[in-house]
Amino acid sequence: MKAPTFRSVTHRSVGWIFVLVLMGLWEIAGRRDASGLFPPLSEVLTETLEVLRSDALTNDILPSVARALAGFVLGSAAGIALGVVLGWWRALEPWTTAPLEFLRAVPVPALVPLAVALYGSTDPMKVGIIALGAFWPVLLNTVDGIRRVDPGYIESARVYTSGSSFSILRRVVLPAATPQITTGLRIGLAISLILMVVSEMFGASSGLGYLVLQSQRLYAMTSMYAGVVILALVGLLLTALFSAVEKRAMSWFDGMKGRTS
Amino acid sequence: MPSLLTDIPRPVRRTLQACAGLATLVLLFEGMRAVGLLPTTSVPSTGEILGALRTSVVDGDMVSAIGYTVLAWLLGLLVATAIGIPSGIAVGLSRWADRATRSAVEILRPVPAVALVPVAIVLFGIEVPMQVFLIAIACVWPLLLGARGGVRAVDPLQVDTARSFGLGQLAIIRRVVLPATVPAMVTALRLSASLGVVVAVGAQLISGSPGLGSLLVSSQNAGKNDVVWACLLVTGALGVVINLLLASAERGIAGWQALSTEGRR
Amino acid sequence: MTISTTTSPAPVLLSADGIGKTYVGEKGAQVEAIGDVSFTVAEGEFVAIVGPSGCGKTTLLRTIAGLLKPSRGEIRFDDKAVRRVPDGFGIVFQEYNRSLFPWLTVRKNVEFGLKDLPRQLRTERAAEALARVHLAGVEDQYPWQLSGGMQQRVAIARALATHPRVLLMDEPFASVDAQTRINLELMTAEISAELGLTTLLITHDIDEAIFLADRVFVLSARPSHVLMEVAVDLPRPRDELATKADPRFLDYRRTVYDAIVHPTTDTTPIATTIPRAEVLT
Repeated sequence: MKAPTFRSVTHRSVGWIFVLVLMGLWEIAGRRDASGLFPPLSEVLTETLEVLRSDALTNDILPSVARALAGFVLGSAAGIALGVVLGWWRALEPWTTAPLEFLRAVPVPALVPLAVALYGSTDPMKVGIIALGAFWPVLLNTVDGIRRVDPGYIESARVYTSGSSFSILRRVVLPAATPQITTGLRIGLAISLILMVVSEMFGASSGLGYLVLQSQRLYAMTSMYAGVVILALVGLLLTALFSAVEKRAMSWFDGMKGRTS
Repeated sequence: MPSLLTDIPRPVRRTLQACAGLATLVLLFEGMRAVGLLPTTSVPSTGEILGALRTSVVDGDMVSAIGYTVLAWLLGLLVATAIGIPSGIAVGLSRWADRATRSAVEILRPVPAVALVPVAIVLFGIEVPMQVFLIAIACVWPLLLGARGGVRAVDPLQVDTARSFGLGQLAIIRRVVLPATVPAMVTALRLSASLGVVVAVGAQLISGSPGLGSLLVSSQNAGKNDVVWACLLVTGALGVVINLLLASAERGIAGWQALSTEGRR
Repeated sequence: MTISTTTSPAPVLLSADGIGKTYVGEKGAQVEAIGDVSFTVAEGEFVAIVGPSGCGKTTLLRTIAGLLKPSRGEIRFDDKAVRRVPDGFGIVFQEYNRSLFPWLTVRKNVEFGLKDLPRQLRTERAAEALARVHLAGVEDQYPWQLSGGMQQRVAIARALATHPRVLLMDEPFASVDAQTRINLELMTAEISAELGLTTLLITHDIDEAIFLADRVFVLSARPSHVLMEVAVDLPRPRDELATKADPRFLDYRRTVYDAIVHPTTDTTPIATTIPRAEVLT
């Protein structure tokens, strides 16, 4: 029993050592850089801490997180709901495929200028844009996941439920499609985060994204990098949150996969 | 209605249904304008949009915007593939390399690529290379993880079979592991491709780097709403073309795998 | 046509009247899977349907179960036409890994068909069913953590938990190893005897059919029809070694085997009954 624990500790630490090496390289490169465009990591981190301690945390950062989270949740919920409808009632497919293929192909950032013009750079606009970003990948993966549910499961369900379509959907089809819906959610989260940044950097006069862009325009490199680090931390935080939820919901799937592959 | 439809040959029927779906979309759009859900003052009609599309194509603005966007997208994807696929295969094959890099990947991957726009501007200016840099950063992760997952999912039995035929380590990688990984990589490429378009347009919007995103912004600033909508139409069409190309590539390459495995991820 | 072998015939619980199934194949061609199949299953009876591979056995079971609509004829259960899966059917499929739900634990899988019962009763029923299949202590595991034989026991327990009036089994033991298969066969015989459960087993295995059943229907190749009906007169409880060494068992086996390999009655889809005396001599 002693050996595996020792080994798992070294396994984990090898990864962190690599991270530290990368951080060290940034530090050294920053110190050697004479142009002033690439500040060393230590300065960036000091600045980051300062920003985190200032009122920017409550004024800019937390609202960003809240918008990203709200948009992601709303967009995903809508994507799952519509995805279930389109995936389950297959007669709709030939009619809806073409318009949906076109709509989803419009990159959501392209809608930001119009949204700003129509609704102003407001919170609901930003949440809506973020939601739309999450919506498409969740929708597509939900439709696909539901269509690919093993007919064997549905057959068993028809034997052991009273046979209503809704109860089969809820008790069997949705759980069976969860792995792929989760894949969609993971992609949706990444796109939500991109849109969080785009919606803040474009046409905004406040917020985290604006701060970073403004620092770049003023050539305040350290605070620019600090802003990037904070945006990265927000992404990391939300991704970690998602992974934690995912891990609990999907333990059966990971276990099964680990066993069969 | 269905009885009438079933008499038509399937491909024709499908096309008709698709056209009907698209027509409904246009009607919906015009309907929303008519009812006032979309303000007619800032949202042009379908005819105006198509007209603007034609003029902008004729005067070359649209063509060069499409050209820059496609160029940046292609180069970015190329760089991401050149870095992501070999690294993904490496960490897929070597547990040690995987352990060493996993934490770094997990920290770097969630960084939204467009957050690096300011950094990219400082490093590369605001021309195409900046977009290439950002697209490559965004797209490298799905490709890396796709290749890694593909290598990991290779059936050990297939490897043992190859070994039983006396194949060496390198031959096994080349003749068994890589072919088995191709479908996963194509899927990852499809995901990266649409991500690439999102990042390209996002970066163009923010930085004014040439492409559809910046044409969109400059048209809007000039009050040319019809061109703005024409840009949206073109980005959508571009996305459709990209998706169709990659989906057919995926079907072609991954066809045998879809047939041979029950569950795909 | 049929000769009843029991002195006091039990009422018919399940019957097929001239079932046929034609479906449109991949290239648009009409495939006739089931030609013309009729049979009856009496209450408490164990009936096996045996046929060569690819004779549409699974299609037949799915049709009997109400999962598929027959193209011709009718399935009747408890004197009512079967249009969808009726309450009172428990079904065990061959592919346990596609019919047990991997996201539910063993207990939840077994309780799956009991949603409308109060929790207390659900727990009792599940425990009782798991005890019947000799599975204890794995309630909180997931099906995919168990061996194939154990998974099939879970599937049987799931069917039993609903207290079915008919147990339908489609090649239930075809995906497990030989030793496990014997154990599962003995267990199935025991359960259906103890509960007096009406059981319909579909299998390609002649020995299994004869060993378990009171009556065996032999199916032809596609489009399938009943070639022969064999009433199995072997004492119960049956024993793996003694029963299978019984000369009558060997006779039944030869009869069924001949019918499948040399289907002389292939062109005349009429159920042929083997007179008992002939088999016995």
